[in-house]
Amino acid sequence: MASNGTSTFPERPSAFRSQSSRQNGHSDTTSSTTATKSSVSMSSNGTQSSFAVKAGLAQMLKGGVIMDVVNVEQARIAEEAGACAVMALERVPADIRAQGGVARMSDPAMIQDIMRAVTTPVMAKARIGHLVECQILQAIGVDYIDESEVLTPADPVNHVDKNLYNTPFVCGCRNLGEALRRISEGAAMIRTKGEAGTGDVVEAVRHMQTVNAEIAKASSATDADLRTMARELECDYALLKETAKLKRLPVVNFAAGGIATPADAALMMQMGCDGVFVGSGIFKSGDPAKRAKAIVQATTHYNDPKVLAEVSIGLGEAIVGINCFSMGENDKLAKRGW
Amino acid sequence: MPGLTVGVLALQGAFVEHIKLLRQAADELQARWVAAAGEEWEASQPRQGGVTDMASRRGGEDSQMPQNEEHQHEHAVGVKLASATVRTPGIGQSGPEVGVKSHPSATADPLLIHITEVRTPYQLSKCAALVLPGGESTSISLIAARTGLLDPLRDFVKVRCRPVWGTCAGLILLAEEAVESFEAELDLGSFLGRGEGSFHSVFIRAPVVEKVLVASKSETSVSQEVEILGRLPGRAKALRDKTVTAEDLGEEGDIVAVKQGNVFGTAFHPELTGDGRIHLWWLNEVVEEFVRKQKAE
Repeated sequence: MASNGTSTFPERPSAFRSQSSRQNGHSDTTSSTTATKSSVSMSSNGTQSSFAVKAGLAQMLKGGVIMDVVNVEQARIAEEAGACAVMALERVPADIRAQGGVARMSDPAMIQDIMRAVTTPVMAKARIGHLVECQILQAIGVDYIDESEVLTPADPVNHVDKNLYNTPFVCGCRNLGEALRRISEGAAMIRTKGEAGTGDVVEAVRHMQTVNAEIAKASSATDADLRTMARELECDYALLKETAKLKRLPVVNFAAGGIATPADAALMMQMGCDGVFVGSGIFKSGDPAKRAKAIVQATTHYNDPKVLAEVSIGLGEAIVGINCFSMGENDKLAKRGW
Repeated sequence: MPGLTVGVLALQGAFVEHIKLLRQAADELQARWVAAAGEEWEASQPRQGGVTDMASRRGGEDSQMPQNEEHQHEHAVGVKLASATVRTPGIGQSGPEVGVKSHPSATADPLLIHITEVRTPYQLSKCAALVLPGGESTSISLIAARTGLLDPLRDFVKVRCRPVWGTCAGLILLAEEAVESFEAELDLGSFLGRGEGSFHSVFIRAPVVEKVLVASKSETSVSQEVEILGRLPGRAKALRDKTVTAEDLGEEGDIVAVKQGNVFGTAFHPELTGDGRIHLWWLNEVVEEFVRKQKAE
């Protein structure tokens, strides 16, 4: 199904259009591009992107900040700030919380507008288990698909089989078992679920801590213990063993859900994340452009308190936020998915 | 003790992987120098049968060394190494040795190779060589500009002509066109040494160099020739778009590894496959360049 999806859409824009368009900027008089070659693309022969390639794509995002944007203007601000990718969606999580109702995949036209406006990779969200939304997002050529708990889940039991897609997937997790289940389904990138749209970093910290602690436990476990652990975590034994050996997740692991300040971003980086997602935190704040730049700088220089102090000065109002401890359990988005 | 610091630009992207492989390569080189020093010593001794493995060689050093000759021996090794000509590394050489045969340091002291992350101009100023990792080139250049690294970087590459290796994002400046991401087996025998076989490569939004800029943009030095070190063969075969023929692409295939003076570029990501051979080759080049410069001073 999904594998045929690509051939059904032969004019699917290259998932890597970002650089195809970028290269024009570097052309100069001494170099000329042969027009006939510009349509060349390796994966247009219908073969599946290997997992190594998809995971490798995600690795290029390391040390970067991925920002939620709802329109072209915000996407440009994010790119200008140095975001390594943008997440195109109609409503940021804070608004989804406030407005309620069913949250679905965004209008493809809106996503495509953003894809045309920026050179950085563009991600888009699909509902958990909604394989057709994923097929649509792949067909319009987004660079990554986020199978996200922020949207209303479409399947009460299953997540999407992500191995069937050429487009790499990012998925949320609260613990190691959840992360490894997503990876075995083909996720090329993992992020903490945190608690999106709250501006409260505590849940992201909790999820990262849990993953770290479970990896540490697995690393010192015997093979027999690992088998027990794999049963308890409900994950694949081989993947767990690989994780134990690597002492980290076998794919890139970002922080997400509640990051609102440069200090939050640096905190997550110091906990061992490979990068951060900032959702509502930027465009629900007083001075988005300045805050976006500050969070990018803080993510790069996460170990340098002097730089962190500098970039934290005068950012204006942060997202007002919701305290996660005062939230009802039913209001928590992180509980979606398994 | 002479030290050599190699930096990896750590603003954004896959820099941790580079650091890991470079550290492995540094350990490997240093181990080889120890082994080579042993070999030199063996060679300087009267023939006593071929001792080949390192363990017995070390044993030989420890136990067989006549006491009255010990000082003389050390001195001999030192002198030998100091006068050893720096070999042309790798190219055309066979075997997995990557051309590392002798301790390239100007003195008998082992050269300490230090691999470090670079985020500030100060950190850059400590480096003798630099890796520009793959990542989002837009992000990297924006962050570099904001950190005040752009001018120091330009200075590092073009004025001071320090060795620089760009993977992907770094090579984009030379690139004409971006293809998609894929895996392929590459024959990089031309510089890794024949018999090295293929190198499993991961291309991520790879820029493929279709045409090398004729005029060097270097403001200071005379333009240096561009060596093409690796090509991706048979891409034409994989194309569904039949308007592009093999002849259009050139029978030799697309250029995926180049070297121009101090700048080395790869369109693929050797840091993603855990295969450290290219890192070893490059680090060895850096060390030899470093030693050459030190001797010249």
